[in-house]
Amino acid sequence: MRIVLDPWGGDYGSQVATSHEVDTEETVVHALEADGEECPWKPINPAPTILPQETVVVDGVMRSDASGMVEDGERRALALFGSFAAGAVAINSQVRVVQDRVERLFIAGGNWPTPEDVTVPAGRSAILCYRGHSSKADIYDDLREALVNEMRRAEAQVAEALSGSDKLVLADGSLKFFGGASAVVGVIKTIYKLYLPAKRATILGRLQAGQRTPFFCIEGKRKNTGYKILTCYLRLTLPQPIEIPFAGLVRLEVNPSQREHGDVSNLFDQAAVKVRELASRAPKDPRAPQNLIPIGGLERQLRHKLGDAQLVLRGIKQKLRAMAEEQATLASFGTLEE
Amino acid sequence: MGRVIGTQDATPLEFWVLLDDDEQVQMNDAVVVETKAPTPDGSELKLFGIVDIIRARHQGSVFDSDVIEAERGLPVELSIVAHVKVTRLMPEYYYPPIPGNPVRVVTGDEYAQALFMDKMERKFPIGLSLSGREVVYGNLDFLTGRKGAHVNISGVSGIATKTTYTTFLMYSLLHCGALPDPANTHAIIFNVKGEDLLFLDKKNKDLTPEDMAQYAQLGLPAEPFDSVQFFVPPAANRQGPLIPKVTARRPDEVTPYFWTVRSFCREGLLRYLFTEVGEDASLLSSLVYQVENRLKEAADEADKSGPGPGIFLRTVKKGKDDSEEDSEVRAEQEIRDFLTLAKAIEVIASSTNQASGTVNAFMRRLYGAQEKVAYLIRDPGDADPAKHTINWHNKQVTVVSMTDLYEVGKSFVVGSVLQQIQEEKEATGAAGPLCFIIVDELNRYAPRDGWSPIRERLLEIAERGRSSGTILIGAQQTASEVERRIVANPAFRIVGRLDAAEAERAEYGFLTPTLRERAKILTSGRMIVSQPDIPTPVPVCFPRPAWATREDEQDLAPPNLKLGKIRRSS
Repeated sequence: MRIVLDPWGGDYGSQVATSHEVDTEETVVHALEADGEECPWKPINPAPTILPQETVVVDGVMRSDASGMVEDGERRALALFGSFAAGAVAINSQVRVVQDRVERLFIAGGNWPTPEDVTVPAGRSAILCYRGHSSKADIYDDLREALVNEMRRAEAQVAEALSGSDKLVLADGSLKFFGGASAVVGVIKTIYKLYLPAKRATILGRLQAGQRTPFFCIEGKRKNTGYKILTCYLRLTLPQPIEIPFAGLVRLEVNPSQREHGDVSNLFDQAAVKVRELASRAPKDPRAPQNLIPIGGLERQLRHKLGDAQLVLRGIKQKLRAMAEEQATLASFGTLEE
Repeated sequence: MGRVIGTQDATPLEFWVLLDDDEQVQMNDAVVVETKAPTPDGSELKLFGIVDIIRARHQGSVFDSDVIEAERGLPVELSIVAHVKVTRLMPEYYYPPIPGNPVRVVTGDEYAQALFMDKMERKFPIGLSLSGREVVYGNLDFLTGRKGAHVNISGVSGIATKTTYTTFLMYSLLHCGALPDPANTHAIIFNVKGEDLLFLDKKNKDLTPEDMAQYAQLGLPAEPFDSVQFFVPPAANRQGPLIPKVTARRPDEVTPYFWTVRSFCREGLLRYLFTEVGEDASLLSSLVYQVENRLKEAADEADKSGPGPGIFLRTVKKGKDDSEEDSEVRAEQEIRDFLTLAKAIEVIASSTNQASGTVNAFMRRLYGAQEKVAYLIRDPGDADPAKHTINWHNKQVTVVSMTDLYEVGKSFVVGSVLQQIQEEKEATGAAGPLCFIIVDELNRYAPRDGWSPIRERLLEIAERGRSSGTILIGAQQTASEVERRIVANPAFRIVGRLDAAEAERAEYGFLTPTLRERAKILTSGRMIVSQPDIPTPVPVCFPRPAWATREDEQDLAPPNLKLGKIRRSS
């Protein structure tokens, strides 16, 4: 028996969510034999014909500000005040944060009719607006997922706004929410499933630092939506002897529609080179090397833009208290009139 | 320039400012912030201040090596922030500036306001701000005795340019037009080492147009001193002709000085030969005074029979059973030179009631000193003593050179001249016209520990000179070694480059912590000046002297070539 460690810091969850080397039959996502890169199945040294002028890294952060319920007579549903921010780091000769935006949602679950926006005071002069949003969720985890989905949509908008020729747009995570037209490369740092059959998965052990696998197509059948995506594995660093064999791996995704727009192999090559350049180093980043350098800084700035959690919560309470008083006054007027 | 930041406390006494990009601000610039405050009359509050530190950092970086990653994709933000120490609030309502308030650099009248220079009724330029844009003034009322007096300067020899700055201050005082009676104001400069001060009356040929512009900015003419007399010691021959000991100037441009035996006795200067600090210094003092009194009597006696350089005393001790013949030998004789006087002094000393050990110690010192001062206290020969007495009334500036004198000689000259000035000033009973006394190496003349007659003299000037119009401009390398009252009393306290260990001493408590650090790295030509009515010490620079400070800096008139040719050919 050999014991190996996940290189990520304990608090971030483990990088590898599966210990299986091969997906089982229950897997809802699986690799297709067809639609892959037309080349022999062996490690590729990425050699892009041209490197992009500018690399853009898109990311978002979210926070639940307060959770509660909505009530109307006997009817009740879970509700959530949540904030998220999305933005990007554009890297050319200089590094700067662009297209950063903050949104706040008041989400009512259980298919509640879309509630009105809630404006919340914060500090001396600021007003935060929580946009009313309805979800069918009936547990908090699903409410939070609704928030994440909104955040991913915002990230997609950021990526959309920034994509263009001479630019490589890297998104943090899967491309599920991204429109098909944008030349965005998703960087997935957490490996939940090995999407390769056993005999093709052996390639991962042979990847040297900087090498990628040929891309292949995976198909997801999730509930009633299905999607297809092109993907490949990239090795950023070789694992230490005491580390799990998947340490130092990331997965890149590209929307299959890109095949109509250009050379996908070259796009993967560009991404492979840039992602490796932007890879973070242990021990500075507990999620090294998969967490890209710009992501850490961007997340810090975006989280900062969400505002002070204590101050925001105090504002929400103040607002609800004011609303309650208003209703009580209205109610008493009502009784007077009667 | 920038805005007050909100991550650090802003108080009525200090605040931090985020600087705009490419803003030309440096430490010591004056700034102002206007803020809405609940002042009684509802007016805006203006807080003036001085930038005393500027720091730059990357916001958003966590590790030191993030600077490298900042070029590789880590988003960080450069923040340059200045700390402002408030100097003045207008109106005087103590309320902080609010984060976000715009801050701007001030110049001209507002700069003067920031440093209270608009409140100075009489002022004199003490230099330029380090940016070179603003003139920094000193309050004359704190120098001339009206509200305070005296200047003290500390700094490492050679780098601190103490002497140059004192002469610049003197020049500024005499030319600023604000002195009460500049024509009758006098300055006495004791030149301890070198002949640097012997060219005060010569134009500096290295003066550039930029230097001239600085003088114009200061409102001062760029000229050498025009009324200077140079006193130099005589060559070390105690007999024979009086030759000035000088190499840099022609003998006829300087005045050799000496004392006659009679003036030495009349003025009671013996004590200044006993200034070496030691345990027995104070023990000897009563004997010194006894002898001085006897010498004074002898001088008074001699005065009765008309003016002259000598006195009449016995030089051999009178025995009990002396014969008539012997007593004739031992009769009083005229004494004109110091070596003979020393013998007479021994006669006087041994006839006192002092223990023989004390008398021996006294004589040992006197004999030790006699060769070193015998050419200063001498028989005038053909020379007119009146012309060779140090007289500070002759010219506006009097330079007393003590180069090459022995320590005892220097102390004697300083002590004697100080006593003379003080007695003359006190005799007039009025403070004006002023007399400035410039003394370097105060640690030698007024050491912190031990007693010496010069120390007492200097203390008296430091404590009472304000009322008699005697202003001490003292300098030393290390203030910690000088009598505390002499370094603490002056209204103007100035430092140039300080030794690192010295800068930490309590004597420099008037400097802010950052200025203390600055004082350790000050370059030459830059001083930090503290004065009573400016709430913070101000670093200043001053222009190159308009007068020569070295022989080769003199701007000599172009030589008459024709004459030169004729001379050569003849």
